[in-house]
This record gives sequence, structure tokens and C-alpha cells, in this order.
Amino acid sequence: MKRQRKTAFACGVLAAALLLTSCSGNPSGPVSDQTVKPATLPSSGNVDWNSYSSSWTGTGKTHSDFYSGIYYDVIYSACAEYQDSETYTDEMGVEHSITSFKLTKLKNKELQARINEDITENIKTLSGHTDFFEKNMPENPAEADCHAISSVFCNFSAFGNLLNISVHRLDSVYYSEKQDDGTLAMREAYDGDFIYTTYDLMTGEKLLLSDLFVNGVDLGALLNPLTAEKLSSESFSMYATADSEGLMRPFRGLPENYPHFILTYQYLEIYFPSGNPYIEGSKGILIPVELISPYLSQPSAELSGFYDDDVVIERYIRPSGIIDTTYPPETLNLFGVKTLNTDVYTLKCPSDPQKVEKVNEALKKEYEYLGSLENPGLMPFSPDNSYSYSFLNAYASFLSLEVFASSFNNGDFETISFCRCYDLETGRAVPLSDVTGDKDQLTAVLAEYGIKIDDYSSFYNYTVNSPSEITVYDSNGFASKSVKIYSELVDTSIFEK
Amino acid sequence: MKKISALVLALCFALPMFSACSNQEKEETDTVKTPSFTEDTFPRLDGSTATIPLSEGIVSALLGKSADEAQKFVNHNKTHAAYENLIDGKCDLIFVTPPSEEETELMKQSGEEFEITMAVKDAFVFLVNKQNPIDDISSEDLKKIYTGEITNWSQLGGEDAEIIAYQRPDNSGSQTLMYKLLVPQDQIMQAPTEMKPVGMDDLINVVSDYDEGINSIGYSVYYYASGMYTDPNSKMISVDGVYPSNETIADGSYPLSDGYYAIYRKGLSEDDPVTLLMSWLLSEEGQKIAAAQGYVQLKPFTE
Repeated sequence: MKRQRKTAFACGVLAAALLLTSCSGNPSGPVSDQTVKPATLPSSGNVDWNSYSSSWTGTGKTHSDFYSGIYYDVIYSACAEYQDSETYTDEMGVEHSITSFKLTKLKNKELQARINEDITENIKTLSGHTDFFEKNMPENPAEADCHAISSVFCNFSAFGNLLNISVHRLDSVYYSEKQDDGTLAMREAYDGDFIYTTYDLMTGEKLLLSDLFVNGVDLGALLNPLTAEKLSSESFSMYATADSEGLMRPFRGLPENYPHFILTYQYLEIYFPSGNPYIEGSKGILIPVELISPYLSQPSAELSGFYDDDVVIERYIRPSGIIDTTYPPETLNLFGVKTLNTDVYTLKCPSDPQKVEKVNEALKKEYEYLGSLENPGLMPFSPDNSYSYSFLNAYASFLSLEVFASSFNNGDFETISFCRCYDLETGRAVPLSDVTGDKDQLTAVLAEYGIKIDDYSSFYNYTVNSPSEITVYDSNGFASKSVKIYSELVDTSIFEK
Repeated sequence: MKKISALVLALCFALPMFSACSNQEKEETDTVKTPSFTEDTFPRLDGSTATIPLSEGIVSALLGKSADEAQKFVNHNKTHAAYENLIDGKCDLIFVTPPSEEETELMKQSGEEFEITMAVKDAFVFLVNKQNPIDDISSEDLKKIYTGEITNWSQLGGEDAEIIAYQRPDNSGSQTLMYKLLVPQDQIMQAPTEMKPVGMDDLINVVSDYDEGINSIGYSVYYYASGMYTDPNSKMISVDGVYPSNETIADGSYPLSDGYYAIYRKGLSEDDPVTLLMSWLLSEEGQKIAAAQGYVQLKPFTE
């Protein structure tokens, strides 16, 4: 009975306490902050920032034939030419400068036309805005020695089968303002905007951010924390204060299929336009590809184990981009009088062992061929002054093999080099005709370097090092002549912008 | 029968108190009405970058503007310029970090007096590597760390390892808080240059990624550390047994708190737009608008 009384009394006190708590708002029981709904975010840059989500997923498609055969030359023929440049001064005294280009060498002309239309449309969208200048121009521009400039321009970058076109507007105003004490103070203001578009050159589709990632990958969990982290790291500056840190509010998450991005072999670059709710101005963040590569849908290969006989392709579907192979194998394995270094790389691909079997077979044959050159009669190999080494280089699904052997003998220098470019998807060596566009132009360039190729469809002595670098050696495989044809054929600086 | 009596007795205690409380609260609520403004009568606002969302929230609530319209309406010129604009009469109300010595002097020189009122709260928080077993440090021990009296985690019950105590540049926001809330500038230990990362991100990265990051400690302001930086390798720790959260900062139980301030001229009339706006902002309705923008309210909400 005593216990029952205590229980009843406790109930009463609890009820009283609950009532008290609910009205007093004392620290022992405040209403949760979760009852406060986050405020609506302002929009900018054609982005609905309020559509952020913690649960959106990758939608990337798997294309096994991305890099097969004839498709190669589509990738490597994207070339732009600056075509238009327009300048005028408007009624407010703002100088407008519009510089655009058009793609001219895409093999897919229908796609090229569509992309060029998009460029024109996006330039139109970003041109001729006056809001910024109406807000920031001095009352009398002439007296204030005012310089007001609005520049619209385009950039593009290519990575694998991705082509990104970006159109930018940069507005700026400079003028002097007379102070109360009669001195002049310089005033300046900037603003800008941009539109990014990424195209898949194989399918012709405009890609969404989610298309870059393997179907089903949780992008809310992957990209939001990375973006939050990089957003803050990009903005925290030398003298971080409530201003220079530049951050206005806690990051809530990327809107689904956020449009302003570029994927390069090093970074996924995400841009925040001027007026975005999180950070002042327009700023970009860089997410290293290595942090997201296992989840990207773009096919590529990554090699490891360059110092071993066995080279492991860690993951086949992994867009790690260009592999640095400038470092030769540690063991040079000096060859004897009659024998070349015939160590054979064996490729391994744990995620798909069958994938590289054909390449391994082809590699073995190539080395056997080298081994058969024990006494080729071409080179007086010296046991003391000769060496050889091999490179394996992977870019996208291209695997390039390069064997190099040299000998010094009584002051004479001889060398043998030998290259092949394999398609990791099919295991076959890819002929030069598959990776190049305009054959007449190519022939002319090679001729300048003394290289003559009779039949591109049966020519294999080249390597693919990056989208902007294909090195061709002379036709017989015993070459001292080579030329990086892509840099000769295309203004590769356009890829560096 | 006895059970019922006990319950009734308890409720008898409770109800009058509830009733009294309810009446008192009703009176407080009734005294703060949502002010009505037009764009012409609305106080001219300025402030720090970090308080832009606060101004946008106020503008949305009191002028009925959408988020986009409020964004265009609000124009903050950063902290120092906002102080200058207030002193020069180019604006009426600023939301800023506490005045520096220079800004205090400027206000004095103007010959006018200013109200300095905390508008929303923030806090000074400490971060350690997630692998560090320490989850709580007393404020006294934190002082000893930053004055060089405590140099080894074992002195705090952790591993036998030197404490690597990072600091921020002198003119950064969180270093100002360090001097204000924990260790005065003339007492703080000298940190080697390489242990003073220049940016917030650098600081946090050092705590989490540095080779000896597991032995490091750093600090930040709650607004950034809780909301914007989600480094999975670092963790905020409690101070004096209280973990920093919206609730513990709002109710004052977290010991190292500060805030963003509203500053305006003293002596304004009761019906001055600034007075009306400030009364509303400090009310529960105004504080909820601030909380919705991501700030910590001045005190726990009652409803």
C-alpha cells in the first residue's frame, strides 16, 4: 500500500511537472528546435536551392561500347574555333563584350549543330542584363571616370567522352567617388553568372550530375558532405571573420541534378553562381576525383603495380583518368648480348578477370616477337651498355604499351621502340584509323616529321596518353621519329581553359 | 481513495502554477506585436556576411517578401563598413559581430551612444580527432591547455601524448572569441606559426588529418562547425560536461557562448521603426524566424 501511494504521488508530480514544463520554457524541457522549419532559400542561377535532397541517386548508364572501334574518333575530334566577337556600348555607358565559339570538328554533325545552338542560346540568356549596372553605377558616370564592362564568353573542356561547355558573364564597375574632404575614393563592384552544360559525345545526351554516377549510388550521402566540406574550405580565407569566411548559412544539400559542374580527370568541379544562398559571389569547389572515382559511371582503367611483373587493374570501371607512367620500372633487367628484356606484364582485373585475358594474350605475343629478335641484325647490342624498359599507360579504356631498348656500342647509339594501344573492352589492338579524324590533315602533319603511313587501318605503332596527346612513331616500329599528333592537329590549349 | 487524494493534491499544486504561468506568458506575448512596415518605413539594415540570412529572414517576415525578393532587398556591406555606415547615418540598424577596439573607438568619437544587443547566439566550440578518447574538457583545463600548463593528454585522462593545440590568426573571428571567452591575449601561449592554420578548414583538417592529428585540438564557432563542416574525422567535445547544441547554447548551459549583435542608436522612441523591429526580433516570433535561418535563438522556445 505504501508503495502504491508513492506511485500515485509520483504520477501527480510528473503531471504537474509536465504542465509546468510545457508553459515555462525552462531549460529542463524546451521545445525541440526541430519544430522550427528551415526558412525557404533564395534562388539563383536557374537553380531551385530548396529542392535539395538527402536521398537522390546516381542514374549513370553502362555503355560497354563506349570506346569501341569507330567511336574513338568522335572523342578526339572535338575542336572549337572562335567565331564571333561583338562589342558595343549601351545607353548607360556599359561596354558589352561578347565572345563566342562554335564547334567545327565533331564527327557527329547533328550533335555539333545542337551544341552550337545551345551555345548561342546560353549567350543570349546571359547577355544584355542591366540590373547589376543600374544598382552599382554612379549617378554621373562621366564625372566619376566610370568604367563599366559586361563580358560574356565561353569555355569548354573535354574528358573522355564528356564535353562541357560553359558560358560566363562577368560584370564589373570601377569609378571614383568624391569624399566629404574633397579626396577621391575608388569604388568597384563585381558580379557574374554562368551556365554549364555537359554532353555525352557518344550518345549526344546532355548529362545530369546524377548521370556521372553509377546507377543507384546514394548521392545525398556521397556528394552533400563533400560539398559542405569543400564549400567551407574554399571560402575560409586568410583572415577569417564573420565576413571573409564568406559563408552565409549552414549548407543544406545540393539540389537534385545540380546543373553547374564539370568532370575532369582530376576533379569534379561544382560551381555556385552569384546570388547562391550559401556563399558570397560566384565560387567553385573542387572535389578530387579520387574521392568519388569508385562511384563514377564513366569507364576508365587504373593501373597499379608498375614495379612488379604483375600489373593489377584494380577496378576496370573506374574513371581515374590519366595514369602517370613517366616512372620506368625499377628493375631495368639489363639484357644480354642476344636477348632483349622479355619480362611480360600480366594484367589482373579482380572485378572482372575475363576482361583482360585477351589483352594478356596479345601482350605475350608482342613480347614473344621481341624475344625472337635475339639476333635481329639491326642492333649490335652490348652486354655492358644496353638497356630496355617498358611502359604501360592507361587512359579511359585505352591501354598503351611502349617498349624501349637502347644500346651504346663504340660510340654508336641504337634503339628499338615498339608501341601498341589496346582496347581493354575488346582486348584487341586498336588501329590508328579508329582514333583519329581527318586523315588528310594527319598525313600532312606526319609528313612534316618524316613519318609516312600507307594504311591507317593497319597501323598500330602509337600510344594514347590523354585526350590531347596521341604519340605516333614511324611505321616500322624501329623508330627514332615520333610526333604528338593531337597537339599538332588541334589547338590543345582550348582544353586547358 | 488515498491514491486519488494524492493525485488531486499534486494537481492542486500544479494547476495554479500552470494558470499563473499561462497568464504571465500571455501578457508577454501580447506586448510584442508584429510591426507593420512598408519599404519606406522599414529600417535601413546593414551588417556582416554571416548575418545576411538573419536580415533576409526579417525582411521576409515583416515586409512579406519572398526569399528571392528579400535577397535582393538586403545589402550587407561587411562588418566594418556596417559600423561606419551606422555611425555616418547611412543605415539604422546593423547585425554584426561585437565591435573591435577600433570600432568601439569610432563609435565613441562620433559623440553618439549606441545600443548593443545580442540578437542571436553562437558559441565557441572545440574539436578533436574522432579517435581521441577524450569527449569532455573542463573550461579550466582548456585554459590550462592554452596557457601551456597542461601539455599532455594523460593529464586529462587520455593517452600519454603531447597535446598539439592549434590556434587561429589574431584577427579571425574564433581567435577573438578565444581571447574574449577563454584566455586573454596577453596570457595565451605562443603557438608556432605552423600550428596556426590560416583558415578554418585548414584548422579542422589539421585536427583530423595531420599525422599527429589524433593528439590535436582546435576550435571554431558553432555556426560553422555544426552546420557547414561535416568532416567525419573530427568531433566537437563537451565543455564542463555540456555538449554544444542549439538547446544547450540557447538555454545557457553550454559555458562558452557569444552571439551576433544588433547595434543601433540609443534613445529612440518607442514607436521608432528600429525599436519596433528589435522588440519583435527579441520576441519568440522573431527568434523563430532567426532559428529558421540557422541561428541559435537567445533562449529556448516555449511553444
